[in-house]
Amino acid sequence: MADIKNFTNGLIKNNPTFVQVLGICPTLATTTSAKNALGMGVATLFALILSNIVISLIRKIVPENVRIPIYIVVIASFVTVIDLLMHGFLPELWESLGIFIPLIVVNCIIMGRAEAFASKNGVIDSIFDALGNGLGFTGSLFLIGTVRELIGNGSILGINIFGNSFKVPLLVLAPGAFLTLGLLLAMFNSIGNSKKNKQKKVGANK
Amino acid sequence: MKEHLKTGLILAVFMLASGLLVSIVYNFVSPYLEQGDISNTLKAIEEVLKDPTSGSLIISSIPKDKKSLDEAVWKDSPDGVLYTSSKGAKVYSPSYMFKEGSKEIYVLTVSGLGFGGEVKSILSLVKENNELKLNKIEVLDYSGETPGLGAKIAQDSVKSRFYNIPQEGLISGIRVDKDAKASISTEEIDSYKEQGIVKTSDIMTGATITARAVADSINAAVEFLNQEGVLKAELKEVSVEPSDVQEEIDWNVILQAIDKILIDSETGEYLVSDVPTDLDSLESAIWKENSDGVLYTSSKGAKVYSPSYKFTEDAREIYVLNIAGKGFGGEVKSIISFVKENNELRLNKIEVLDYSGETPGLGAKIAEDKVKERFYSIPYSGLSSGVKVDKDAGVTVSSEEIENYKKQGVVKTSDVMTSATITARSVADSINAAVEFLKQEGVIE
Amino acid sequence: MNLVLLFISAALINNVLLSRFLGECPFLGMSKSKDSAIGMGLAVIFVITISGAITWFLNELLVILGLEFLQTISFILIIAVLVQFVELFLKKTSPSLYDALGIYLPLITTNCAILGMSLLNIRENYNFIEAVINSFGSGCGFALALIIFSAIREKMQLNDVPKAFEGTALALVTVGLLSMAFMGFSGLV
Repeated sequence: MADIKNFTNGLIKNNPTFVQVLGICPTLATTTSAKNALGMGVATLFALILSNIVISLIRKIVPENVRIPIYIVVIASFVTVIDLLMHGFLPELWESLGIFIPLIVVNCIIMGRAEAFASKNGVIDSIFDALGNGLGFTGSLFLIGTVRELIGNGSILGINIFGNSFKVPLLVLAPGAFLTLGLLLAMFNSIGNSKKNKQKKVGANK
Repeated sequence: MKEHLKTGLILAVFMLASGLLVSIVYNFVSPYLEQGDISNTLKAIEEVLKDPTSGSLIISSIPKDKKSLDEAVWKDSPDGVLYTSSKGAKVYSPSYMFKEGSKEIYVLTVSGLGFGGEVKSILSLVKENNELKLNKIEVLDYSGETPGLGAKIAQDSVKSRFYNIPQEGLISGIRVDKDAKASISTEEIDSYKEQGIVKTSDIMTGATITARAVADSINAAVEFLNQEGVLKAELKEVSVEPSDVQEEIDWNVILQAIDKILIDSETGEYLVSDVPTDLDSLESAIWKENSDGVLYTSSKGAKVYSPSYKFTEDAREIYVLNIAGKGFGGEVKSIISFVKENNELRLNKIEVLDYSGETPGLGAKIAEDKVKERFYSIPYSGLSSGVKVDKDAGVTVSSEEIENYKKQGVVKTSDVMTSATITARSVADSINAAVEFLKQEGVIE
Repeated sequence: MNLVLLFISAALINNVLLSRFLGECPFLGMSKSKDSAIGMGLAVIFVITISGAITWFLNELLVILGLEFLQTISFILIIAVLVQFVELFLKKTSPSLYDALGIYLPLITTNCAILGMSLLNIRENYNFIEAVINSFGSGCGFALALIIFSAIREKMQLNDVPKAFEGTALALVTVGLLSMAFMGFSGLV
């Protein structure tokens, strides 16, 4: 079924963070804790879904040469709406994420999916694509956030697990972000590589 | 052309639709935004109005909404800042005061410079039986501090290290002790508080900058209350290093400089008949002095050092002050003479003693005669409006213009000293500090 | 307010890439060769400084009109327009650089550093001069980190690397080390 493939594609096979390597800025900045990472992922997910829907709806009436500014306007409007709603109803999360909420506008994932998919496909397909990529992004953010918070602060989602005994504060600081992402990326790469090797072997045996 | 019009129109339609959508959502959300902002402040104020040991409120009725909060406003200022300390810490407007029986409770919003920006807090100071003490502090904004390190400042265990500091601790100036002891008893913590030393190193490691920001902001609050007359005490200057390195003062250099500035800049004759030639004669002319070396510090961080001297010659009073301003690479130290005659004060001459932090060829030119002269002979009209250095890079200035500007307190240096306004400004700042000090001492109105 | 210290702080201590995490995507994508890194760095310095200036005025206007909530939308549109101009300008004056930058030139629009610094200037309540210096300093910090990193990467391309780490993974670990080095600047101011 074409629909489900769009969804799973964004989730794992074409994961925005670990495969496409997009949206790195928020990935590094907001994963200091699992809660912030989750909040960021969900906010981006909403922005992605809404913008994909609208861009898919208007794809036939938007002139080719002015499509980028229009996509920007659409994405920026939804991001501003999300920003306002978070400020009003989730003020603590809003403050933690700070400047990275408006920066969702320039998250390459949203613009990337708009250009690559939503502008060329129907609304239902675009929704699935947005869900897949958005959840894939949220998942990787949550993974990185959990690792950083667990090893860096000894807690998950604010619940203290290791206490003060085991902490590597470096992971919560700037270099830790790069290192965590790099090491996790290498890990996923090696999993992907070994899978490829297995498939080659199976194919050769046939 | 038609194509462009069409695309422009479509773009405009989208922008309008977007603007409309956002405006609608904004109008819907804004009451919640306002409520959120004020409720944070109200919550924090409620917290600091509690007794730190018992947890019960120290006041019978706490403000519950904006109206009752506004009624408790004590001092406010249109530009939002009531006081800035020499360390860059601020007391924000508005400030609140609550009365409960014989108690006066001052609630101030303060900030100090932390690791990644300002660390904002609300604190309560209680004045009872003429004694002031710091009650509680709530840290509001520490978004620039590092999670897990400086951000721990918001934890109760860390905040409580700042609670209940008695007046003697406040007067000696709050400082955070860097001594990294593994554990500390409550008696030790309390006895340190009486000296104004806050211990945090056992519960918050590697984040002294954040703790110091809070200490700076408390000191700013105390200085502000002293300034407003709530506290009447002589506050001590806080030094970061407990061991003070006393600089060797070369008295010969000082005597030579004093000799120069006791010459009238207009007539070229000595202002006094007996110019001090040695330490003894200098010491007999001491006017004001104090034990910690600084007589006055201005809001710009410029200082008037101890001792200060006064010479009298018939109807003339000559004040000689050691001053310093913050230059590019450190303090720019000068010695200055003011003449008070016929109830009028004027700046006579200035000698720059130490400009070692300034750039050779640029700021270091401040020691040249032709630059120093620009500061000579500023009449009271110029002094009272505050001396400032004009950045206007006029290539040449006539001596009439220079004199005219001096009357307005504007010192022209840009034609003899380019790209070194910081150094010139530090001299201007130090002159202003001297004038403020003389006003404080009642020499002038 | 010491403007020199502000510049140093923007360029080194709060380095846009290594401590604020802005501008990572073009950073990882453009740092493979030193020449394109230099070109990108200069283009970013130019765009970020001018957009910092223009968005400061725009914000003043929005505040007067009470329309601060339109900040994000209006800022990003200004940046998009600015990048278009830079593109046309480069196409005419230096077609080789235009080709070298390729797709990454229009991508400067989505460089979070540009929008990010413009928003930060407002949040820190900088006046006009401070905003311009802050933007300019950040751009210089970006270019500095980019050029250093591209030099490192050029060398790394000749090395034997475990297959899992090839490409971006190793780049990220390297940047992490670079970021640690830059943390040493924090005691400077």
